[in-house]
Amino acid sequence: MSSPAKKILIVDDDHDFAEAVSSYLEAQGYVVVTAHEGREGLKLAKMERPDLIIMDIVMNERTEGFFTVQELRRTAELKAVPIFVMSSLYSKITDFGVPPDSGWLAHDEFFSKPVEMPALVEKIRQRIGGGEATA
Amino acid sequence: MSEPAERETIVVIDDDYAIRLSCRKILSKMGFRAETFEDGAQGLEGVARLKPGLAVVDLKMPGISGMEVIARVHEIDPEIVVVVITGYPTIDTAVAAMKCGAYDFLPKPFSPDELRLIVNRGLERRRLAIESRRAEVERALLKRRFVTFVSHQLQTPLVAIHQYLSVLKNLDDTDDAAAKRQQWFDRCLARTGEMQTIIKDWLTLSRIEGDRLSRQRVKVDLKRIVTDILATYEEMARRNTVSLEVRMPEDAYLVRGDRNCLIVLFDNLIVNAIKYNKPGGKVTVSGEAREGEVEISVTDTGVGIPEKYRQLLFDEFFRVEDEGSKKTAGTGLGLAISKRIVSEMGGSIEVESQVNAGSTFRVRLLAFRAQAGEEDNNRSANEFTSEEDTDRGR
Amino acid sequence: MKILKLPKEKLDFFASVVQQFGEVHAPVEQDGKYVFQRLSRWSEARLDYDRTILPPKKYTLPPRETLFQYRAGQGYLPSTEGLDKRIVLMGVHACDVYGLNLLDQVFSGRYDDPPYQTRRKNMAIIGIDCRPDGSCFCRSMRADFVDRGFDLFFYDIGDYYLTLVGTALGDDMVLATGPLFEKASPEDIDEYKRRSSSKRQAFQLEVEIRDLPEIFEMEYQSGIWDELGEKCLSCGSCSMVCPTCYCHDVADDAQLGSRDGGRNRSWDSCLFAAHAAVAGGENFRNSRASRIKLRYYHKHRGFVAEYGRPGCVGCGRCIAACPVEIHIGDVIAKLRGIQNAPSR
Repeated sequence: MSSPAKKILIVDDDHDFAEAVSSYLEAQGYVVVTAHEGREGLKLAKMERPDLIIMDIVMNERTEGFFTVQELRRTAELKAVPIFVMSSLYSKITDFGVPPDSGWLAHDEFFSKPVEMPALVEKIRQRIGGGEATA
Repeated sequence: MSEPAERETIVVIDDDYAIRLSCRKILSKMGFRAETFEDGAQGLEGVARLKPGLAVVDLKMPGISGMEVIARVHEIDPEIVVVVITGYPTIDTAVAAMKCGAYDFLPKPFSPDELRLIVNRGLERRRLAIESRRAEVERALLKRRFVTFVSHQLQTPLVAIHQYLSVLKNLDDTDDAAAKRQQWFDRCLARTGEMQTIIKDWLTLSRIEGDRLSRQRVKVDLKRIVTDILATYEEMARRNTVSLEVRMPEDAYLVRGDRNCLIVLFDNLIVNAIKYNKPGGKVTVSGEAREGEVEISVTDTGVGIPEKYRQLLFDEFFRVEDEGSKKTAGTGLGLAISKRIVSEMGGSIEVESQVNAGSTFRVRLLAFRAQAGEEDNNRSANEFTSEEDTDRGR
Repeated sequence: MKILKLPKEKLDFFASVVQQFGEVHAPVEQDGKYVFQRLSRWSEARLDYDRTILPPKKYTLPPRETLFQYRAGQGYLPSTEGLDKRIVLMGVHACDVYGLNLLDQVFSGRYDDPPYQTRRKNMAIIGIDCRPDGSCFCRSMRADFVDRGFDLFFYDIGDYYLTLVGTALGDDMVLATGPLFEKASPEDIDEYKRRSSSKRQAFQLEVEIRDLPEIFEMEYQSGIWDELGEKCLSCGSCSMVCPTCYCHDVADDAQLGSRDGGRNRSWDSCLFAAHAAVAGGENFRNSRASRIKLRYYHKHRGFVAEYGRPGCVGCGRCIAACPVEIHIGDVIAKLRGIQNAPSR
């Protein structure tokens, strides 16, 4: 008896990037829902209750990702969902001037774009399992 | 702000009472705030406290010598202009004082005019030094903004293309993947187009700023330019269901300028008018030739620009991010470039707008006037290439 | 008080970090006016606003709230809905902080008001300074500066906000944001002084309040109240938008069967026709003239007797909200016997 497929929410304002990543994840057997801005992402997170969230940092404005992550952490039912954060503008959070380990961004993993898909899937699998590749 | 302009402070350090009194009188009459001190120690304290722009220092004083005062004054503020006065003017003392950092040298006795002259010159020089440093700082800041912003603008499409390609590589060959492949190739091409536009726009802007493109100053017919531009956008306008109209009753609207720049200028305005329009809307380009002036207006029936954004509209990175306006692709540079071009030509560009009704951009340029030695025929620079233009009346 | 400075360009980072302490609310534009609202992204905030329609009291004293639920024969259960929600209210002007401080006195005097207190405690206040417009007269009402009631206060000094830390929570916010804040230099303080002094010159509306309570006392029979009564619509807008108006109606709402129910509190206004009606049918302030007279008297005379200073903070909201343009400056000027209001 296979367990229900794991669900991933991608929040990224670049439609192409989200499309590329979600196609790959779907091919790995995940169910993927996508939002293109922070507000939409929050709404979908509450509705869809994903097992994991992939979030872009710099969306329509440079702190949109931060804002959204904080909101997620403060929403009781979403507090424990692992968040993978992605950014293409900077390779390290510290480039923003954010001190490391400051807890500013309560994220679980950080990836710089473009993302190596196999590596991403491996980390996702470690975190929430799932991802049986379809034939 | 309603504050009165601050008076510049000048400090005078001289042990001679008569000199202090007369300097104070002369300087106050000039509108400065003049503070005097009778010895070096007090003078240095005064400089530290008052932060003057200029200090008049007597070389021979009891206590700390004038030379030492000059050196110490510059420790407090390297920007202060120091004028040395002395009753024993020799070449040696003059040279020594300059070496110490004095700006100029005024032998006693000196007339009020001489003092005035030196003080004004000294402060002017200081003002220029401060301004040029501020300009440098601003330029450095702009460059940093440029680098961050452009690299972000270019990175985003690049990342998307890379991601598509990397996923395509890793996806198994299925019918599903094949269909996606076609779609994704199109998307990659679209994004590379986006990058090309960004690079082109930035190059244009930097060329205009850097004056690297030697610009022509020839007769150009704006009517011809406008009609050519509208022709190139016919297809796009039709796709957006926007109609194009020209209202330029005169035969020609002649200005003096660089043809390529003028094309860029009006291209930006017209493409914006089409992009930010409503379906079924209209773009009207009208022209007026008045005494010595040519005015071209580009009007659209689009989403309009809210009042609060109108100040910022021509700023380099500014894009109106309202809920109402579609997220249309763009670098945010079009209007900045247009404004730069117009300013270079000594003209003006203004915008009038009503939210949801539309906007009108009005460009005013000086009308073409034949210079001495130039032929004033009606043939404009439009039919010629730029090399030939160089030969014609420059 | 700790004095630091925050670069203006880092304000968005500050806002996103401060979210740890609660939902971030700030003035947001709505149809050309401003309202305090929860932010979904920082760029919605409009810190350069003139005034919001409703003051911060809408958070501590909501327009409508349930005080408790009851069941006949079993007692009552105090309502706790929404009371534990933590909010960070950013961009509060000094006059509004002052207004909150006045309301604090009202709701924590002889009888503590738990719902108000709880909400007030769970709301962090980050103040910001401002420039007066034609309807601002906070300076006349001595409410243009506050020394307490906020967790942080920002003063614009050009590229930075000079920051005053008001409470331990404010200090926590500063610590949480790490290297964002810098030490303030003497030049920064000079710049603050310069701007503060120029702000003083910028007030256009001035009201003399020094012997105003006495004049109110003397002008009890003045014809001005009848004039105003004719104009006034008794809509109550002025009370709704006033930072220190706190009149409320309390009513029980019984369920079908009359066993269960709730006691609700909702905003009221002394201008409403039934405000002074009592059981038996008598209405002590039947005429609009008497009602508008009461509002002015309470605000500028009664409040003084009870709390030592007028309840008005000079925010100008009543001026903006009144549909028939009754202007407090004009009213006071008339009372003082001058033909035209003393605005420049």
